Amino acid sequence: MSWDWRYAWEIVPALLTGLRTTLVATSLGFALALVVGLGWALLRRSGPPLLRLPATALALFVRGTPLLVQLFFLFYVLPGYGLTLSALATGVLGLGLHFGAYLSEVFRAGIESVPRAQWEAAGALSYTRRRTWTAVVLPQTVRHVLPGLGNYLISMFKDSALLSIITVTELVFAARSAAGQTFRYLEPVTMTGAIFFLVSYPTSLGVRALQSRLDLAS
Amino acid sequence: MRPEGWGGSTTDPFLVLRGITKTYGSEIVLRGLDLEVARGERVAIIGRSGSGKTTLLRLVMALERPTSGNVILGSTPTWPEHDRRGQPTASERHLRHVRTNIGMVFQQFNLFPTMTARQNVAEGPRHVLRLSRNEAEKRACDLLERVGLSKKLDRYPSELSGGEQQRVAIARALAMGPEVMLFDEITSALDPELVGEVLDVLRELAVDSGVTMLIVTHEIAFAREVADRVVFLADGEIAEQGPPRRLLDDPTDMRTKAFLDAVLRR
Amino acid sequence: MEELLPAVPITLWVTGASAVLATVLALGAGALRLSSSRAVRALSGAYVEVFRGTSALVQVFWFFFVLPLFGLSLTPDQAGIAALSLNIGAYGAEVVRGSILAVPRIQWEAAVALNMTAWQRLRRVVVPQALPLMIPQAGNLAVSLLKATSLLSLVTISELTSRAQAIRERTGNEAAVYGALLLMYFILSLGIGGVASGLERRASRHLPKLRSGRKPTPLELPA
Repeated sequence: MSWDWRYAWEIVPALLTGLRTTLVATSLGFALALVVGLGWALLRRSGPPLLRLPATALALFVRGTPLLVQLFFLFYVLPGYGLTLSALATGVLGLGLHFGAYLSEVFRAGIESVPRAQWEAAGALSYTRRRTWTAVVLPQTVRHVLPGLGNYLISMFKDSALLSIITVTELVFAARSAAGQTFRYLEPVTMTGAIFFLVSYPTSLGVRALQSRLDLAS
Repeated sequence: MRPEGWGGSTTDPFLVLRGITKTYGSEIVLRGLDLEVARGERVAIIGRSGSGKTTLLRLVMALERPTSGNVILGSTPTWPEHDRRGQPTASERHLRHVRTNIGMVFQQFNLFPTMTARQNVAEGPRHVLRLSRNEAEKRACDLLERVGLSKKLDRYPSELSGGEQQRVAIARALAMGPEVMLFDEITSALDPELVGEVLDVLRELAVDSGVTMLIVTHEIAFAREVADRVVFLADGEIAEQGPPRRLLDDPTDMRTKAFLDAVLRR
Repeated sequence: MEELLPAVPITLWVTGASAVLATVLALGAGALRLSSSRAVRALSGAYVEVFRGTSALVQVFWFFFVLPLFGLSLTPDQAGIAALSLNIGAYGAEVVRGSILAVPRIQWEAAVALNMTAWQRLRRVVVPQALPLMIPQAGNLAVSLLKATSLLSLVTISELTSRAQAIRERTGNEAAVYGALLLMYFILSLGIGGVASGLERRASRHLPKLRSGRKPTPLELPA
C-alpha cells in the first residue's frame, strides 16, 4: 500500500473545513470550561458549607469517568428531558463540563498558592471581600494558573476528536467521511494525525516557554 | 613521609594541580592555580565563600572539568586528552579509574535515603569494588564502629542527626580505600553542638590513617591543630600558604589578614 | 448495572496489559531522554512529542485502520492495547524524566564520588528516590488509561462501553445504562487511585519529608 499524493491533496479542503469546526468547538468549550471551572473552584472553597463537599465529590466524579461516556450521556439523555441541543452545542457542553472539573482543580491550587499573608494584609487594610479578590488574590492566582490552563486547552483540542462520535462535523468526522467514501484510510487518518500535531506541538512549546518565563519572574 | 615546614614544593608530590583555570561563562572562578600535595599530607583550605574552594575540590574529584590545566594524581593526569575546543577531557572509564583513589565527603547530607547506615557504607564496596556481601558488610561494620556509630547500623538517614549522618558519610568514603580524601566544609551545615563529634572523627583520621587529606573548612582552630599546611584562597588563586601557626598567627598577605580578622572576631 | 459486570474483567485486562507495556515504554523512553547522546535524546523525544501531540482517538484509529495496510495484522485487541500503551507511555516518559530530574543533584554526585557506573547510579540511588514522585502521577495516568479504554469500543473491541451500548440498544433506557456505566468507571478509577496512594506511601517510607513543589492532585490530566 503506498501513499497517494493526489488523493491526499483532494481531501485537504474537507479536512480544513472540519478543522474549522474543531477550533470553534475547542474555543467555545474552553470558554465554558473557564467559567465553570472558576465558579466550581470558588464554590468548593468559599461557597455555602453544605455545598462544598458535594461539589468536590462531583468534580472527582467527572474527572474519573471517560469523556466519551459523558458525551453519550448528554447526547442521548438530555433530549429526553426536553433539552434538545444541536450536536455541536452538546459537544461544547460536554467539553466545558468535563474540563471545567479539571480547571476547578487548577484554579483551586492557584488560589491556595497565594500566601496567607496576602489575605491578612488585605484584611488589615480593610478591603471588602470583593476588593480582596479582585485586587489581591486573583492577579496572583493568574500567574500560577496560566501554564495549567494552557496545557488543558491543548488537551481539549485533542479530545475534541471525540465529538466526531456524536456526529459533530469536525476534523475526525471529515476524515472518516472521506475514508468511508473511498475505503482508503491511510491518507485521511495520517493527515488528521499530522494536523493535530502541527497545531498542538507548537502550542505546547509556547506553553512551556510561558512557564519558564513565569518561573523566572517569580 | 610527612613533610615538615611549608610545602611550597615538596620532594615527593603525590597530588599536583597545575595551572588550573575554571570559568563559568564570563565568571572566572579559578585562575591558573598551582598546588602540590605530598603523600599523607593534611592540607586545610580556607577562604571566603566564592573564592573557589569548593570548585577546587570538585575538580580534584573530577566532578567537573577545568577550562585549562590539569590534575595529576601519582603520575596519572586526570584529563589526558583535549576536546575540539581545547578543553581537557577524558573518557568516563578513565575518570572512574582516577576516582578509585579519591574519596569525597560533601557539605550537605549526601547519604542515600533509601538505605540504612550499614547499607550506605557497604554499597560502594559491594557493587563497585565487587566484594562479597560478607566482606562488604564486615568492612561497613568496622568503619561505622570506628566513627562511633556501632549502635546505629540499621538506622535510616532520616533517623540520624546531622552529625551522625556526616560520620556515616565519612565511613562510606573511607570504605572505598582511597589514598586521597576530600572534605568540603563538612561541618558548615551542622548545628553547633554536633560539629565536635565530626571534627573528632576527622582528627583521628588525620592522626592515624596516613591518608592524604584536603579539608575545606571554616573551623580555623581545627585547621591550626590538625593541618600540616594551610592554604588561603582568594579571588580564584592561592593568596598565601604555609604551616598553620605561621599563616594563622602572622599572615603576610593583606587579604589573608582581612579574612582572618573578620572570621576570628566573630 | 449488574449486566455490565461481565465486561469489567475485559476492561481491566486491557487496562492492565496496556499499563504494563506503557510502564516499560515510559521507563525506557524516560531514561533515554536523559542520555548523553544528542541523537538518542532526539529520537526518544520525537516518540514522546508525537504521541503526546496527537489525539488518542486518532492513534487508535490509525492502529486499527492503517497499520494492517503495512502488512502488520493485529487482532483488534492487540491494536487497541498497542495504541493505548504507546500513548500513555509517551506521557509516562515525561513523568519519569521529570521525577529523575527532581532528585537532588548531590545524590548523583555522591554516587559518582563512590565511582558507580551510570547504570548503577540510576538503579540503586536515583530511581528509588524518584519513585515517590512518579507514583502519584503514574496513578493519574493509569486512570487516564482506564478512561481511554472506552475509545476501544469504537473499533469493535468488546469492553465496558461497547457492552453498555449493546444493552442500551436492547432496552432503550439511556439514562440508566449510561448512568450505570459512569458509575462503574468511577468506582474503578477510585480503586486505582487507592492502590496508587498505598504504593506511594510504601515508596516514600524513609525519605525526608521536605519535598518541595506541589504534589499532583488526584485525577489530574497530564498534558
